[in-house]
Amino acid sequence: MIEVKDITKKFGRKKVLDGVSFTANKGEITCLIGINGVGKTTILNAIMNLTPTNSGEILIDGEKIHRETYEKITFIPDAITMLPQMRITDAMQFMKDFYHSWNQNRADELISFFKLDPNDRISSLSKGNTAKVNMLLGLALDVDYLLMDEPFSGIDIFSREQIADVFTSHLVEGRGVIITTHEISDIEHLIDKAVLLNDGVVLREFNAEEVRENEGKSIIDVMREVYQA
Amino acid sequence: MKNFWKLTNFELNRFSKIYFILIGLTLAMQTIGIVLLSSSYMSDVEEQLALGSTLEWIKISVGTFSFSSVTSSYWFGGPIVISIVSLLIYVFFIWYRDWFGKNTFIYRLLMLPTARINVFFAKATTIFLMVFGLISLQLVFILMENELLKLMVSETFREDQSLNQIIFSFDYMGVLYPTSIIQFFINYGIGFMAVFVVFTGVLFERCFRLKGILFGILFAGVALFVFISPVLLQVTILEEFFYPNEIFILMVITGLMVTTGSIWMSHYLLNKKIRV
Amino acid sequence: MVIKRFWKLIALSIIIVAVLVTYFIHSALVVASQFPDLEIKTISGDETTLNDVAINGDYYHEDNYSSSLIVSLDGSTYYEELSYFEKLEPQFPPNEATKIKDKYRNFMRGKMYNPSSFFENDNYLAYVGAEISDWSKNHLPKYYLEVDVLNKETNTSHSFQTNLPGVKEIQHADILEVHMDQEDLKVIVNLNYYLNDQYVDEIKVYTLSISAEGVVGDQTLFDPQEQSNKDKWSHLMFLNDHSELDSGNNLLLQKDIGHYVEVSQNAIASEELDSELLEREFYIYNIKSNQLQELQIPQEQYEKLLSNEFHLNGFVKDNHAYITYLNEENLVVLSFSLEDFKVDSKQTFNLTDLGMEGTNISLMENKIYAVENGMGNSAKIFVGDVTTGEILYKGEIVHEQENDDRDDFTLNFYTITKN
Repeated sequence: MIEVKDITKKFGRKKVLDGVSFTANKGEITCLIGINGVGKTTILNAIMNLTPTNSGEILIDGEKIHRETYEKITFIPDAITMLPQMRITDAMQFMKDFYHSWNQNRADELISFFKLDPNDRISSLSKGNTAKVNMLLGLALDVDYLLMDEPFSGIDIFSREQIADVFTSHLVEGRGVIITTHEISDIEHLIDKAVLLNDGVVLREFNAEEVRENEGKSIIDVMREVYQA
Repeated sequence: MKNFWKLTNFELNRFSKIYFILIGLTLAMQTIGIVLLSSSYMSDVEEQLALGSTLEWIKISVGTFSFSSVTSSYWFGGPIVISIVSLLIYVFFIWYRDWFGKNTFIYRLLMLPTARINVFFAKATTIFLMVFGLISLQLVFILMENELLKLMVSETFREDQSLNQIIFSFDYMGVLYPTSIIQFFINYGIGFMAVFVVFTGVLFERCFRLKGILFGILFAGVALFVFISPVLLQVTILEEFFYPNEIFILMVITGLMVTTGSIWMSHYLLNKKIRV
Repeated sequence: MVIKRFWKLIALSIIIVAVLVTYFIHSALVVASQFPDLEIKTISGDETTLNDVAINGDYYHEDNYSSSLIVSLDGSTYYEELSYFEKLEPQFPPNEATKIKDKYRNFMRGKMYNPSSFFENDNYLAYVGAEISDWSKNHLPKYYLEVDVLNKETNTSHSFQTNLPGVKEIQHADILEVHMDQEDLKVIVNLNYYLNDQYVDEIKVYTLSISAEGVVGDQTLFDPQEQSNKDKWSHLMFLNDHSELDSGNNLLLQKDIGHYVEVSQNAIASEELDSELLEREFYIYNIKSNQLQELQIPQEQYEKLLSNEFHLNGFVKDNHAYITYLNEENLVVLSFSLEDFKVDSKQTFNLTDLGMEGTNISLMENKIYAVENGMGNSAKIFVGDVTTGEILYKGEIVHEQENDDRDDFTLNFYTITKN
């Protein structure tokens, strides 16, 4: 379980996060929803210790993050984190070099699933393929938690579908996923839990299934309620 | 440790193209310099011979040719300066290149399941290896170029110099190649300490951005002050109190303090304050 | 596989280690072979007269490198061959002041290594240094005396600073001698300043009281007014051995008196003042009794002494003062008794017979030590007895490998000291 407890973060005088708390469970897809600039990416960076917070605490399976944690949680940012001059195979070699949790079989499987050529240079890839490689580098790690920042933004419709397929496959099954988006329509059916954010504050955290059953509302219905209130 | 060497190898590969260009440029320019300078010298000599001058007279009027005639030219010193400047710039760029561009590699480096200070050490080691590599290769080049010079200029007009004479006769080479091994460690120790301090300064900027530049400069200022504090004490309030070997020991201590302080501060910044 | 992926790192590391190790081994060998091993080869006489004697000089190589060196019976030591830490030592060759540094490490901190500034006896080690506290508006230094006296028994030191009384606007101050007499320090200081537009030397004897931490008496040995006379100048010199901590109670002074003559150089009407030496006097100053006595120079030696500009040396040992000079190829040693200040013996050493040209000499324990100061690749030395004129030892500093006749270097020796 990832526990985000009352974190605040200031850029200068501006509070980007103001007491954000939520949890994300293993085996569930948790979606951080909010318009751009609401602090979604900052939360993911904070979970990965890629940016300092001013107060609060983040626990991963009850522990603060340390170097070994990176073997069981990974982050797929919205841009690829490999050098453009590298080939896909170099990038996979790099991952293999440093991560025990790297699963080459799964990587090969993803290569064929995404129809990628391992000898292509990252700089020569299309936007969609770059996003797929980015996804591959995270998914091929045998980790418990997967953080994804806007996996669908700015890519073509076919790539989007392919990526969305990943979420329903065994590649994601059983893992805890946190995903951010400003546009929910493509993935509404995938989400187990939604966290609605605005101005650095969690407006509502709810289980999609429960709300649907108990209140008969979809996530979009709840969003409408919350944001237009 | 394994991860450290992997990272070092990785960092080395990232700069290897430019590095090979620097090596090639050095060899090429210095070789061209020797060919040009020695052939122009030999044509002067031949002109004199054609006029019927005696060998003795030519040696006096045109002068003899030695490796020093080459080392004092831009053909020789130019590539050395270019290499030094390139590496100095790269001390900064080795960090900033990870942040810049769309593909921000720093995410990857910071998310590696290894101590983040290894990234710092790998980058520092890369710089050190490249510095030592260039000065080593330059020594080999001098020997090769000296042989080339012997082919170009006939023995009568040549004043052969040994490697050490070439180095002694050239001021800034003395700094790069001290004869005493202790002096070598002092020169490069101070240089590498400075690299650590600059790295910490860069990390300050990366953590706190604009304000960080100020912190970085302040940190470098404090580091300099700590390092030279024995000398400052010596010339001010203590009035030559310390013996030279005591000053040496004190500066070794303050140097180590600055280096460990720099590493500790970088470790702290990388773990607690860094942002992507 | 590993090699393939890491080849750049491995290759670079191998190049670095191989080249740098080779370079430093090579450099060490070059430096070691750069300077020839010198030895003292005995020609005749008793080698033991050179025990503990060090001959100091410089080595010059054609290729523009040089080094100070010390030659003794044990061979030669070059400054450039010393290790980094040995080079950090304050003086090469070491002098009497640097030698006491290791014994009294804390006391010697911050002191100038000028042997004249020190006095040592069984109970005390005293130091007086002329230091500059400030610069006045007309760019003249303001001097004060830094005094430090170590009681060897209790290992405590007493230090204080004191101004130089009766001194204004001096250009330069030099400590010539420090002598401790019970509770008082006698300090002889040479002061340079302008008096009536003439640059004069004033030799002052200060009496410092250690308990009162200040100057309790000062005396000028020669009236500087005399030097400021435009028609007639005089110049004072202190001939005692500066390299010793304690020059004894008697100090030997040389006083030159001369005048200026106008010489017209050439047609371009540039007239220059040339000086001509008229008189030369020698004095013995006794620190204890505060007496200044003139040495009586016999007429036949006086002319020679007057014409010897550069080859005059003076020494005081026990009950005698010695003045040496060159008379054509003879090295003459005049010995004066300190009882009646008259010459009681005169010894002559013929340099041509000894195969020497110019010499630098030193007098130690009734023996005269001389070393050739010509710029050759060897240097002759001799030791003579100043009381009998006997030559005790003859030798030569030569290159150890005799068959190796390198002549691409020159040697210049200038001082002889005893450890």
